[in-house]
Amino acid sequence: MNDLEDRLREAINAAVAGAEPRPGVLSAVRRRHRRWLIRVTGASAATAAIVVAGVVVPLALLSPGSRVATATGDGAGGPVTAYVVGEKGTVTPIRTATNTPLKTISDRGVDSLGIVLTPDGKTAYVLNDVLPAIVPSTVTPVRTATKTALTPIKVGAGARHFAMAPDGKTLYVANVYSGTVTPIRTATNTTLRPIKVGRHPEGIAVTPDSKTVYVANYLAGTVTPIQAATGRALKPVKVGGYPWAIAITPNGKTAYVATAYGVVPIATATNTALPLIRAGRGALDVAITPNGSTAYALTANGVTLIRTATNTILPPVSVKQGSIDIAITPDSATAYVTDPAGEVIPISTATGKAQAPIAAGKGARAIAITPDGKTAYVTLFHGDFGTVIPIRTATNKVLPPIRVGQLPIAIVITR
Amino acid sequence: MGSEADHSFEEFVRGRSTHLFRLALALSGWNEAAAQDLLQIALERTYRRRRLLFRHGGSAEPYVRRVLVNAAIDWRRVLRRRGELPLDPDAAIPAAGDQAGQLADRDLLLRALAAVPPRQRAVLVLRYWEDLPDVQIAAALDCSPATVRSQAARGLARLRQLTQIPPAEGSQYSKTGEQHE
Repeated sequence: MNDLEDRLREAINAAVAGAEPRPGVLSAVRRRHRRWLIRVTGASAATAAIVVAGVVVPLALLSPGSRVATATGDGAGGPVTAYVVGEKGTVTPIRTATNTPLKTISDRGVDSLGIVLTPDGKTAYVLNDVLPAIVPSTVTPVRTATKTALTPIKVGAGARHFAMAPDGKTLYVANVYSGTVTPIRTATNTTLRPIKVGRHPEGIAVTPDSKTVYVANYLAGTVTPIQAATGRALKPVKVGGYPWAIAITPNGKTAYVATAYGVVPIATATNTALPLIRAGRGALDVAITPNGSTAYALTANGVTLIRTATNTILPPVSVKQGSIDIAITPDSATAYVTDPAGEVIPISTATGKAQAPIAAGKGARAIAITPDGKTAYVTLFHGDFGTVIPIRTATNKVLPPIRVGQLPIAIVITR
Repeated sequence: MGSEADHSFEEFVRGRSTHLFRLALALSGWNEAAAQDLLQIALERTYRRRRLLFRHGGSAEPYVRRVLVNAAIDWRRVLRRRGELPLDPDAAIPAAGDQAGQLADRDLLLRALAAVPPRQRAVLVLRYWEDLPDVQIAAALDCSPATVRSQAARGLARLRQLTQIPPAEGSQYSKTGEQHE
């Protein structure tokens, strides 16, 4: 008796018989992987090759907004808590007083790229990479008090970086494939009209007064300033060489743009580019000390310090496998840089010299420092499960590891 | 260690890509271009994780299957939204039952399968073509085995409706006791 199930089996067998994938699947997959590496690292092909040889993991999403919460709040979010995002969208809170992980909040399914907090610490936003690349990416709001994930908010396609306005009212998401920036009102978790910017917008940053948003158009070699009040894109500023990340000084006067050739400062008053500052073989990211004195440019083979008063560089600090992420103590004295080979390198802002490296563990990746500056938390993207390593900044000693569920992608800490 | 994972990955691609491509073809509703893309997406994601997936001789297939299934479901949603697929599955299927000869028409069944909602189609393909147990299908689809059973029943009912093939005596479908028209 020919039942439907049997007919179905037979029909599918007949339909797929002889069907073969295109030849050269293996090399096509490798090409795709390479493009993906370059996309997530923003690195030149040369840097990607280093990554292939060494880390084989996606590097952290390093837009300044996602690295450390730009928090100025009053502790409304309760005790100081670190939030660790797993590769598949889980969020694990860690009480920094006791270094104990709390229950993981899960948002299933998608690949996560980063996390950012509102300044009051009440809501964390997790950026998700949705597959395939033509569908909208999402941002999942997580209520920190109740530890619940809310409905994901759809943004443009290929969202890879986002930045929270310092006033906490708006979250800006740069959509690589849509070529737009989607503002999200944090009060209602609704999106505003997407703003058209240049090709392949990546890194994004908001001025301290929350009035202007700067977004790096990777393939256009420009930076588009956006008027926050009107949502209007202003004339793009030409910076050249694949701009990837942006950081803005605390006084709001200069935006430092990491490009494939170095760092280009932009005077925000006139939106004009100043001369290129060469750093390593190109900068992957840039971070500025809270006192505004120094910009740290992360490069494929080290770190270059730029004195912002004169825009001059100090001799570079070399980092084995390239610097991945950076966190600076609130007093600006020390920057901690992660090296996926397994070290965290403390660098003194005053002298620009590296101190003895701290052995954190293979796959050292995202890093954040508590508001009191006493502890740095490093996530390890390596092994079967997620690990976060606390480091006492006073002694640069490693404390017992904290286990989180999934391999951690990013970390933020409340004020 | 890296080269070992690379080697295992290469072996996996050589040994399994034909089968996986055929699976992608069925999941995509016989869209060859989509199937080629789906296979590459799934394999690239596997490549990213090769060190984790291929350690201790582990099998990467459940992971690849999961990516493939979920990507296929997403894919269909996108194409549908962009109007590249008929919105009404019935419109794509010629009216069945007019000629007795059509009941056995394999082509009709295949077209009907392509018209079943993607999640149900994935369940049907994994269950009846790959012969996977419900727990493994559930793992691929991120749902419970109970959901797999109800999706399978719904998918079969839809197929029946589109092709007018009656349920057979004592079939798995009628045994489960799920209602049919």
